[in-house]
Amino acid sequence: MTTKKDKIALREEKLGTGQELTVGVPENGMQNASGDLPKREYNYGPSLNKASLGTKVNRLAVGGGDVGVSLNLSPQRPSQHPFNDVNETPSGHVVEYDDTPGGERILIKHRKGAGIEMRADGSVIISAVNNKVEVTGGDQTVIVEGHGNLIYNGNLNLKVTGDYNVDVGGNYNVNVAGNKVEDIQENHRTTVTRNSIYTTKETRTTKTIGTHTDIMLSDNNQIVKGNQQNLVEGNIDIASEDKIFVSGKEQFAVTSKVSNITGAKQITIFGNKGVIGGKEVDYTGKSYYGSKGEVEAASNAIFYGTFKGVATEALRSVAADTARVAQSQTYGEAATSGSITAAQTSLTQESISGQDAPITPDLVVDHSINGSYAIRTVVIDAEDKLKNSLSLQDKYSDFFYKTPTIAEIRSALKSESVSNAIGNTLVSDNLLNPDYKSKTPPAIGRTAKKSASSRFGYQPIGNALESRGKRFRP
Amino acid sequence: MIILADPVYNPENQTTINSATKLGPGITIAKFLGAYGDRTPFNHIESLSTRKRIARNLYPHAEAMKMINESPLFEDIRLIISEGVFQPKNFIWTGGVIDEKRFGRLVYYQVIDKEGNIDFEKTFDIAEYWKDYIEFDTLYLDYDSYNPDGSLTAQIGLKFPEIPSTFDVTMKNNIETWYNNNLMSKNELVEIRETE
Repeated sequence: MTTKKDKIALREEKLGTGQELTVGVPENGMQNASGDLPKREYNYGPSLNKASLGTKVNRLAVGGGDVGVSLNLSPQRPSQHPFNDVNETPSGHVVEYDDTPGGERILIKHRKGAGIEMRADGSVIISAVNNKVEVTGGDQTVIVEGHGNLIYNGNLNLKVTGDYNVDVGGNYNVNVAGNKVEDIQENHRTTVTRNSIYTTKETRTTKTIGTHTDIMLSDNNQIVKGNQQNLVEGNIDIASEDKIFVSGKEQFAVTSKVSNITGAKQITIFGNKGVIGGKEVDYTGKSYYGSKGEVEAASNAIFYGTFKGVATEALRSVAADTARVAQSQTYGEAATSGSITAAQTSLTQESISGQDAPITPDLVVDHSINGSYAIRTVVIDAEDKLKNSLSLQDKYSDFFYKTPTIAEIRSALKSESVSNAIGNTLVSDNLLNPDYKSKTPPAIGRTAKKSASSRFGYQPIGNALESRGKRFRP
Repeated sequence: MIILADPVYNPENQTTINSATKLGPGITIAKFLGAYGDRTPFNHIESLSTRKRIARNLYPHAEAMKMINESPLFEDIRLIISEGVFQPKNFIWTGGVIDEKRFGRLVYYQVIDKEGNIDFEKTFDIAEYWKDYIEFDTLYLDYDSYNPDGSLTAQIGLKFPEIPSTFDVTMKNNIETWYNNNLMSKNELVEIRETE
């Protein structure tokens, strides 16, 4: 070593040039001034980097996959000496250029495990053990020829200041455990080329401030198990090019200040019992029948008031003083009956025959049961089968309202009541192993008591090689 | 014992608690909400005090996860939450495990390898590691054959006591092994395998 009295010229003269140039350089090249090198793991061994020899593989911290999501990483062949050029810093940063045949790769690794690795099969692994930031000043294009899996174990916020266009060649499935909220400032258009099904298991409300128009170019079915209310402040027009039929099993009422029912060709209003008319109501028509219909002298009708017109016959009359013709007069007398002949009578009176049979009470009953105008019987989802198949409430005893996944079943079965209530149903639906209550495990492996287990260290303790084989207890 | 909460992540220091609230580096409350077994939005918890209560209870879970994520022993696996915060759908979900999961005291984890499958060996390793290195109320090594094909599934359940705002708690450090919801052993972890 040099001293303050030494001069390089004197030393060269004394030691020779070659020796002078090597003075101060230790014979063991692995030593350095800071003492960081050689590392403990290289004590009593070759100084060549272990990664270079293939006895150590530097890996990025990538962890495992996710449930059902593989990282699809093929095994990497160990490095062979002298193909791997390794540059490792004292703290542990590593750069490798590996030309090992069949295992060619480039690795840039931070001591924490972050970095980038280009593997022999062409895979590129990028790992960030903490945050990762990507900033692109211009455009960015990503082309993936295979599949992709994106898993965010936290929230994901996507902000697009321009248009957001999604073009899906296959199905587009969205599965949301919580709410789904869409806030659209302008228009919303959905076009479904084929069928559309919308299922709401609880309440559905639609509010429209402007006009609401539903156009159906085919049939329209509204099937309501409960009540239906259509309340309109303005007018209602219901028009059909064909028939309109309204049936109420218990009651049907139409009320208005002015009501008009018009049968342009024919009108029929009938009932088994009731009243038609009002204080200021006029009646007009061809003929009137009693409840027995066209039965002479026994139609079972009673009329009160004054008749204007001509009766065909007055069979009996207590006071037939206004009857023009009375064929027989049992009681009383007809003051003017003799002055008009039978021939005159047939000319002046309203005489209509050959009527269709009127509706009799029996027929009314039949009419309400049979025929195209019969009262409809409406039964919708009588045993709630459709409701239950949609809500799955009964099927899974209120524990699930959808077909559960095995993970959800696993969670639910931790409650004994769930296991007892729906275990068999889940088995019959092939969602659960029939032996789900088995208490016998297939095989037993290691065991660990409550006290701390002794374990090997993964970092050397001290410099002694034999320390690496020692166990310790946490 | 008093849990020394990192002031950056201590829920008591937060003015709002939502799914984006961090409980540790890279660990948000959302991680415990979207579990495969108990997918639960945070909408149903409205009061800040209840949200803080859940966040406090989840805090030691985040610490336990962080310990595994940062350990070189477990660099080839991923620890996922299979059953997190549970929202009962109706009144019939009450009592026992349900209430413990409801407020974040009990969380179940699965250990996933690079192929996306459960790593049974590492599951036992992590259970044993937690047993030795952290304090808890009860640690469940939970196996079952519920899958329709009868294949084995392994989970680790970690239960902590209710964490008060002082973070002053008493841990029991119980360990149990369960198979198909039957208690197999108490005070001992038993590894169950599919084959001998």
